[in-house]
Amino acid sequence: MIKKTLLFGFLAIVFVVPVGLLGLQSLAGSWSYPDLLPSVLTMDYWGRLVSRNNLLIPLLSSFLYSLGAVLLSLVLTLPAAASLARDRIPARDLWELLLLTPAVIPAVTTALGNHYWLSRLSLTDTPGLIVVMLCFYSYPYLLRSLTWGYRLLGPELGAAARNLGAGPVRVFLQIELPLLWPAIFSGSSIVFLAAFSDYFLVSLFGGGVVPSFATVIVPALASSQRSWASVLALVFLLFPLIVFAGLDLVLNKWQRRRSLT
Amino acid sequence: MGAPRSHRFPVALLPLLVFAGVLTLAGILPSLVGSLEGWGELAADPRFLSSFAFSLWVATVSSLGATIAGLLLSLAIYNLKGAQRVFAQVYRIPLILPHLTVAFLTLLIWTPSGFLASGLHSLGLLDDPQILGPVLYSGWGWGIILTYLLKETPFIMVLVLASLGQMDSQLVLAARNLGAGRWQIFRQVFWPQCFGSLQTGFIIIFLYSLGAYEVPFLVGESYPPMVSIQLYGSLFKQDPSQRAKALAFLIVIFVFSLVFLYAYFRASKKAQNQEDT
Repeated sequence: MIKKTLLFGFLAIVFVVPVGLLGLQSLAGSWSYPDLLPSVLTMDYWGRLVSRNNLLIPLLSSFLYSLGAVLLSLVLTLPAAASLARDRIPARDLWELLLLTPAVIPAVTTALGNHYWLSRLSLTDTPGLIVVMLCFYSYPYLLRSLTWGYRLLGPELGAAARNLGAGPVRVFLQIELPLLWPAIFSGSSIVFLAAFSDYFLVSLFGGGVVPSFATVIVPALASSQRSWASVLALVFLLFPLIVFAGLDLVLNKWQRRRSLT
Repeated sequence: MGAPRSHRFPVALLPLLVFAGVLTLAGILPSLVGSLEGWGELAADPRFLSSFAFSLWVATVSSLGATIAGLLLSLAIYNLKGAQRVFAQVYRIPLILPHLTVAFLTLLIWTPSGFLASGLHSLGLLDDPQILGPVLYSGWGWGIILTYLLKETPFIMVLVLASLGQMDSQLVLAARNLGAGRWQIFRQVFWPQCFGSLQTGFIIIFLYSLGAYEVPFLVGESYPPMVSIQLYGSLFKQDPSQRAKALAFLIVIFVFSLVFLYAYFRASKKAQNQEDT
């Protein structure tokens, strides 16, 4: 029993308290050593979020380029994952490893080189390039998830549908897509999260020209304005979660309506 | 279609291969060409060497620490039931926290005027908060290491718990009935089951922490810099004479990571083959 108490105490202190701290700090009007709790609580910093509406554009821009990275990743990885899961490919493990490398090899190495020639061609500082680069460094998460999904799905259902006369588009939309949905959703959320919370690639390839929430909050995080920084850090954390929850809700509803008809 | 298709290389893989191949080669080849004159200088410059050594230190300590902590915590919680099992899921919280946020948390908690100092003080355990100063500013990278520990331990736990979930729970019972002690059960039941995930997890977080930019940017000391900071600094901020040297350094990091990854691939293949025979 004591062991269990210690275990749960440890889990709470390490994994829950830090986030609670972030919430408390965001409400702290003044909080300095050696006070255990803030001496003044205030909503001022959260109010600032509304009054300073200049955060809306960066937030929207981050949302859009992250979504772009997800969509581009889906287009590129769906056929590849199906093939990795089903086809007999010579040295498949090696190809799979090679395709996963962009997410594993430190991004600085290839990013700085790509930035060099892309800036010569004046292709940097554009949202399109940010989408391409974010996709390049995070599509492997989606590829892995989809390859697993396709392996679990197996080829039988698709073959049966084809035998009944369904074309490839119909097989994908009506058979594979609904069954692959968990793999698509989880892989896409990782890509979205990675893209949304990226700072290095966005500031390198966006050059400060493309608005981004990450580049807005980093100076605040590094400053001594802890309460304002905590508000921004919480938005940075909660925004993608709200997006996922909303998407999940909408899609569930849509699917239920479809299954009723 | 039910049976595997032909033995030719599948066309469906090509778009992704071309995309990834072009961006990898285009990312490395210009640097390789630009580095040609820098190799001699690189060997003579202790700043790059110390940056590499420092990054290896930080990556090794944080990844080993996260791997060990992740394994122990997974073993502690994998068998929980009911409400306890639900509560234990809090370990997933850091998974959704961006690295930048975790780094900011490290600052909130560990600075000499931070939360830990206040907490210890109110418990009567701390008189002088400056004792905590060395945590973030000693030059040993503890701020970076603590950040990665908090962020990557849950990542290891996800992998380990997934492989423990595939295990037949009767195995532990059988081993116990046959008279195996706790250590023997760990060594002969849990360890072989988890080893693959530990290896995969370690490689991923090791290479990530070796090269990532965000965390050292926020909580790193100014000297020695992690490789990402050193590279960015010498390619963008300093004089052009540093360029060839920095590019040579970039190639070193790239090749090191590739070799590391490939060695892992070979090792895991070997393990797989042994399992199959």
